[in-house]
Amino acid sequence: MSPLERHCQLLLRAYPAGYREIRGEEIIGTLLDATPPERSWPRPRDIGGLVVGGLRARAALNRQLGTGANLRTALLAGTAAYLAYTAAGVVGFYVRAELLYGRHYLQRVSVDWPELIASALILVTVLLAWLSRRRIVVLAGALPAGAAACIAGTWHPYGLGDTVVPLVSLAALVALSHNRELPSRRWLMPIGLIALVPVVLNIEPQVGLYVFETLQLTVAAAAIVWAVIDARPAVAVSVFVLGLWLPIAVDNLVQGMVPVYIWPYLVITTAIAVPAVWLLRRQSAHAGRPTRA
Amino acid sequence: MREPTYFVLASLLDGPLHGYAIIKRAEQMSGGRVRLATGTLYTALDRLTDEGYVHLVSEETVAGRIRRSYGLTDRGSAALRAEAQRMAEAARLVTDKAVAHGTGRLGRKARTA
Repeated sequence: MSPLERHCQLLLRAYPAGYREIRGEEIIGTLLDATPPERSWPRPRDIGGLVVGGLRARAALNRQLGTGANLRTALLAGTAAYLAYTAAGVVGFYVRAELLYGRHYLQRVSVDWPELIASALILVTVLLAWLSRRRIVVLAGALPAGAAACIAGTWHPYGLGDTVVPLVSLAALVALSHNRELPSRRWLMPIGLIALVPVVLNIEPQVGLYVFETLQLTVAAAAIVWAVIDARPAVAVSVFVLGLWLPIAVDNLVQGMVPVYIWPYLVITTAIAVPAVWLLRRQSAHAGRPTRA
Repeated sequence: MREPTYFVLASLLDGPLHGYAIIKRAEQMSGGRVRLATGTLYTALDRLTDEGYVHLVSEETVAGRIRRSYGLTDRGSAALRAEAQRMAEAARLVTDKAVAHGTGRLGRKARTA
C-alpha cells in the first residue's frame, strides 16, 4: 500500500464506519485518480473536503431519527453516565482493595454490603438499558437495584440527596428505555471511561481531584465542540453534571437552606443544555423538512 | 441550486460518469471555476441521489476497487433545465436593461449601431 493510499484511508476515518463500508473504496479510488502521483498526501482542497464531508455524514446520522428519539438517547446517556460514575466509585473501591491488599481484604474491613450490592445492581441496570431492547428487562434490573439502594441509602436530611437522586435516575433509566429503539453501543465507551474515573482516583489518590476536574472539563469542551455535528453528547454532559450536583441541592433544600454552591454549576449546565437541545432539534429528522439541491 | 451542484448535474448531460470524471468534466465545463474536492463531490452525489436527481448506473472493479458511474434521472434533467432557464432569465433581465439604458458594453454597441 502506497503512502498516499495509507493517508487517504486515514482521512477517510472522518466518515462514519457504515458510510466507509459502502463508499470508502470508491472515494479512495477517486482520490488516487485526482492526486498527482508524486504526492504522498491528497491536495489540501481534498483533505478539507474529506474532513468536512465526513463530519457532514456523521451529522446526517442524527437525521435518521426524530427529535424525541435523539433527545431520549442523550438523556439516557447522561443518566447512565451519572449512575455508572457513582456506582463504579463504590464497586471500584472494594475491587481495588481486593486486588491491591489481598484476597481476604473484604473479610478484614467493615464492608457496607447493602451499598456494594446496590452499586453492583445499578451497574447491571445501566448495562441492561444499553444492551436490551425490552423495557421490562431494564425494569427487572432497576427494581432490585432500587430496593437495594433504598436499604443502603440514608433517609436522614443530611445525605438524603445521595439516596433520592440515584432512585429518580433509575426510574428515568426505565422510562427512557424504548421498546423499539436500541441506542448505539458506541455510547458505552464514554460512559465506561467516565465510570473508570472514580476507580482510578481510588487506586491513585495522589492524582487528586484536579485530574477529575480536568477530565470533566475536557469531556464537556469536546461535547460542546462536537455539538455542531451531534448535540447529543452535550445534552448528556449537562444531565451528568446536573446529576453530580443535584444531591447537594436536595440536601440543602430539605434542610431549608438555599443551595448557593450549585448555582454556578446549574448556570453552566443550563448554558450547555439549552443551545444543545436547540441544535439537536435542528439536527433531527422533521416531517416535511425542506431540502435544498 | 448552488453552482457546484449545477455543474455536477451538467457534467452528466452527455451520459453517465464516474467520480473522477465528474470532477474533471465540471472543471472543464465551468472554465476551471468549479474545482470539486472529492469529499464535496460525494456529499453532493449522496444528496442528489436521495433527492432523485442522480442514480447509480453501473458498478465495475478497476485496479481492485469499486468504481461507480452515475447518471442523470428525468427529475434531475428537468431540475437542471429549470435552473438553466432561471439563470438565463435572470441574466436577460440585466442585459436587456443595459441595452435599454444604453450603458455597458452592449449599450454602447447598441448606440453606435
